[in-house]
Amino acid sequence: MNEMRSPDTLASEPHGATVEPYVRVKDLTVRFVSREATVKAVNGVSFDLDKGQVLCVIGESGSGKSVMMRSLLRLHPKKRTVIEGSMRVGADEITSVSDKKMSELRGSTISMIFQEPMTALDPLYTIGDQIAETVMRHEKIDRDAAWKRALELLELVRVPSPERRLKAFPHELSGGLRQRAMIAVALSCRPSILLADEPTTALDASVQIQVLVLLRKLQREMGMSMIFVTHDLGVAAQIADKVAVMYAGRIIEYGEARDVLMHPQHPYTKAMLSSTVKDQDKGKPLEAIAGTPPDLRALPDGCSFAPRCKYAGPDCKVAMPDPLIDGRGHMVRCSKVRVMGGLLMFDEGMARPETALEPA
Amino acid sequence: MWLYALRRLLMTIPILLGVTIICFALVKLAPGDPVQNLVRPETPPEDIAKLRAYYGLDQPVVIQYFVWLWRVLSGDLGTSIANNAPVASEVLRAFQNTIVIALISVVLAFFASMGLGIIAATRQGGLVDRFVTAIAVFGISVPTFWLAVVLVIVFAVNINWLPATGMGSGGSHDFNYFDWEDFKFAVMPIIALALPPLGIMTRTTRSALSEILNQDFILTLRAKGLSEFSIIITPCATSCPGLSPCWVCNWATSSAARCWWKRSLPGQAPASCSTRPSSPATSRCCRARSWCSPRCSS
Ligand SMILES: Nc1ncnc2c1ncn2[C@@H]1O[C@H](COP(=O)(O)OP(=O)(O)OP(=O)(O)O)[C@@H](O)[C@H]1O
Ligand SMILES: [Mg+2]
Repeated sequence: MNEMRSPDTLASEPHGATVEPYVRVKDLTVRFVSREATVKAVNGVSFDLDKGQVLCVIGESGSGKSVMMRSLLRLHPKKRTVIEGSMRVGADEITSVSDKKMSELRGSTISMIFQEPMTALDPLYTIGDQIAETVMRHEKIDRDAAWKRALELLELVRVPSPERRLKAFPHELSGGLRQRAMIAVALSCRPSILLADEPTTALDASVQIQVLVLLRKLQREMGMSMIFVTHDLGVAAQIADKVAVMYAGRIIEYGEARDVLMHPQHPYTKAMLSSTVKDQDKGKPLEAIAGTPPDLRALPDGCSFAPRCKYAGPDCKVAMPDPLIDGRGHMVRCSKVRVMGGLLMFDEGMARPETALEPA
Repeated sequence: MWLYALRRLLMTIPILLGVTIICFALVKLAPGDPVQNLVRPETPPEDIAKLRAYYGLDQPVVIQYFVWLWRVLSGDLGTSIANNAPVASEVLRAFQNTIVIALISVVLAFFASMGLGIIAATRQGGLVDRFVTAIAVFGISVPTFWLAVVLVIVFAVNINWLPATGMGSGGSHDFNYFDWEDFKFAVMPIIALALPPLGIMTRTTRSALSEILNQDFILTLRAKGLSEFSIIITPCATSCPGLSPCWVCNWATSSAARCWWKRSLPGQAPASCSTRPSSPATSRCCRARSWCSPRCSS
């Protein structure tokens, strides 16, 4: 383990070792326990996030992105969920704060935007009510002041004719406007970290861009940290400072957006990048990743991507490779990758045991 | 939200109107002539015509309907043709006996079912949920008359805690809930009356609430930092359909549990009236029903 320094020591090196990241998630595992099976949705996720940074989490459906996000707000049903590891946001350890403190953090320090604007708003209350409710809950101000704030927020998220929209019910708004309203709810108490779980997936392309640009702008203006889940690599390239690629509940590649998206090392990331429509020759057939994601109830012993990986050798089936990090903080978990000259290098013919002999 | 509640309330108006029209039409369509029934066969036709005019039966049906509707709305339920007494006081006399037990059953079933339903919905699959469900299913499936008899056998005959029949010395007029000497007569009827609606409303509350709690926006409410309590209470207060006092009234007027109620049996008044075609009294029954039923019996 000597050469495998944890991401945090590396990340903090340039600033000097004293700077603590604002968010630090370490070895987070989330399991859903039921009588029939245990679903291992998140299996040891670690990352750091500084104030004002945007982390994009990408990965296929079912890779545990939403589960990880919800864990940060402790939104999972208590009884059936086992959460281990540590999630620190600011000074609070999410895994151990009291329920009361947790509900104070929700919506004020940490807020969340959900994937489905159609169903995420309460159909029986007006937009204004739903924004004001949050403000009143956290800032103990009266109704009039809260409504005034709601109006300002709708203006902030560029909702046209906000006075009228304040009194509208969710079903009276279009998807784009609803998502803006949802963003207004999330931003109402000036959170320091915003969790956006595919906030644009349910919207059509032109509205997607608008909402995205808006989110990025607000995030910069308010100096928020943001964790942004998306399927869209283009979106990730646009707004991310850091990118994490998730597969079967693990982060298998992590680093600066540029590094991960331009020089992907993990076969999964590579395959994912080459299966997008963008920047491909017209005649060339799209490369889909063969096979299906693993069953989270019974994960394979070795690398969870091995069954689908065209480079996989026998050593890949033994154990999940440990994280390997280069000097730029680019992390990858693949036994075919080694560090050469401070950079990660993918080497098809290589097996992990030899890396250990390599001088660090 | 208030607007929503108001809208739902206003929507009952056309429904109520529709019900009154149908009831009125049914009475009109029913065979038999109320005036013919009143008089001796040899009465001269001009007297019959006078009687008709007196009761307003010579007017066109539509006019009759509106006159009746107007009177009903202004609290005048008319005079029973059968026994010439004002229908309102007749209903009241019969109703008072029912009210004594129905009122408290309503309150009991309403609040108990709401509480039990909420508890069950928030602890789905747990032991408490199963226990509550067992009570509810018992309440729904056990026939009231059987339960009533069993209660009498156990509590009145076997252990002799409660009187088997009768009503406090004051009757329904001077019934005093806070005097055990009166109240002990009502205990078993109240239990037997409250249990079936309690069962149904508990089930309804549970399923309605758990449906709401499984919706996406509940997660948003949690993510906003609202307390679990306010998340659960709000949908209960606004949209739980199972909580209708009307339902219990309806139940009370038609249930066999009142067999203990010694003096006039509430169900008897409507029954005896409707055997003779006495329009005002019959339509009064219809009205009482219509008051009970719109969108409430679910
Ligand atoms: N409450 C739960 N109980 C049991 N299993 C769950 C629960 N929530 C999520 N899962 C499982 O966890 C796995 C990961 O789900 P998750 O929603 O995090 O995927 P995702 O990466 O967000 O996918 P998508 O991109 O489609 O949103 C899925 O297999 C899902 O079935
Ligand atoms: Mg998701």
